[in-house]
Amino acid sequence: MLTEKQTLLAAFDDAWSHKWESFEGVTKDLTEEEVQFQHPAYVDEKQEDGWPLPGTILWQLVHIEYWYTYYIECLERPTDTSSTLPQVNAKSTLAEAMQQLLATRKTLRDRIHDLPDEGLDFMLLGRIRTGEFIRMIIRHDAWHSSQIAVARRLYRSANK
Amino acid sequence: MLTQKQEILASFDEVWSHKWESIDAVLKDMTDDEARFVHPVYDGIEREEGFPSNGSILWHLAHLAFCYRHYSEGLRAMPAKPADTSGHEPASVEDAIEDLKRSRHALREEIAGLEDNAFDQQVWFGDTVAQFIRMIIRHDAWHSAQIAVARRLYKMR
Repeated sequence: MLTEKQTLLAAFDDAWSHKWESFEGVTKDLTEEEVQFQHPAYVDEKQEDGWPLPGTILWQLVHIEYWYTYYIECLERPTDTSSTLPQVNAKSTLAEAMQQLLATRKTLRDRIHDLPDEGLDFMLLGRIRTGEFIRMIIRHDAWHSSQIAVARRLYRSANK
Repeated sequence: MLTQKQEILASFDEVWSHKWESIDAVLKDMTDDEARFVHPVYDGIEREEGFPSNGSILWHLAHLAFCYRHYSEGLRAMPAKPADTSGHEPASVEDAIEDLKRSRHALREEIAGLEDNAFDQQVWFGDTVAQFIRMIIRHDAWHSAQIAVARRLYKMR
């Protein structure tokens, strides 16, 4: 039987690399053109300062990495309610964005791994149980991987 | 600290009802017209027997309900392969959501009824029960996210 932390880490890893419905599965053989593509359904969305165009796969990659940075901050300073959202550190190419995402994800995994088992009961920032927070992270990963899959379909359809 | 089963059940419940990235949240105020809409990007995909048109939100709902029944059967039959499950083509979005809730409730009962040591056993395709249920939860999040995009495509049609 796995502990709660082992269960969470297994789910965290599955969301990234499982053969079905995972980040690695949907990002296989991505091209630069594909990640920069914006479907017309997103053209009315305002582009935030420093961010890729909304609806692009590049936006999804930067968004996931941006929130990993915040999650790390929360886990490193679990009682610091004054912490603010990080500055976006957007990359402009697929290779750069992916490299940054991989590095930040590794740090996030290390932070989760290093939590003591009883740390999962701690109320993060006084608001959310740490275990629930990590479940949210995992769900968020699956959510965006899935939207990348649709973005790839939209790109293929537009380029037939 | 939670046990493995408690953690898995918490994940299972939250992917349905958490305020962020959940099925419940993406289904809010869904209309029948919206649920039946198929964006042209799904044109040409062959329709499966017993299922709504591929790419529609109704398809996602029917697919999830179908999978829940299949998963329940898989847990009951393990380690053997479950019997084939049939699709249910919903008459409306209300019907689809009702069927989804019913089959999801039955699946949750199956999971909740497992002994703690059952999570290391294997299901029919070789994964452990724990891996299998983690996949079920991820699959829920996956389809919720695609329903969210389908709603955007409907609005921008």
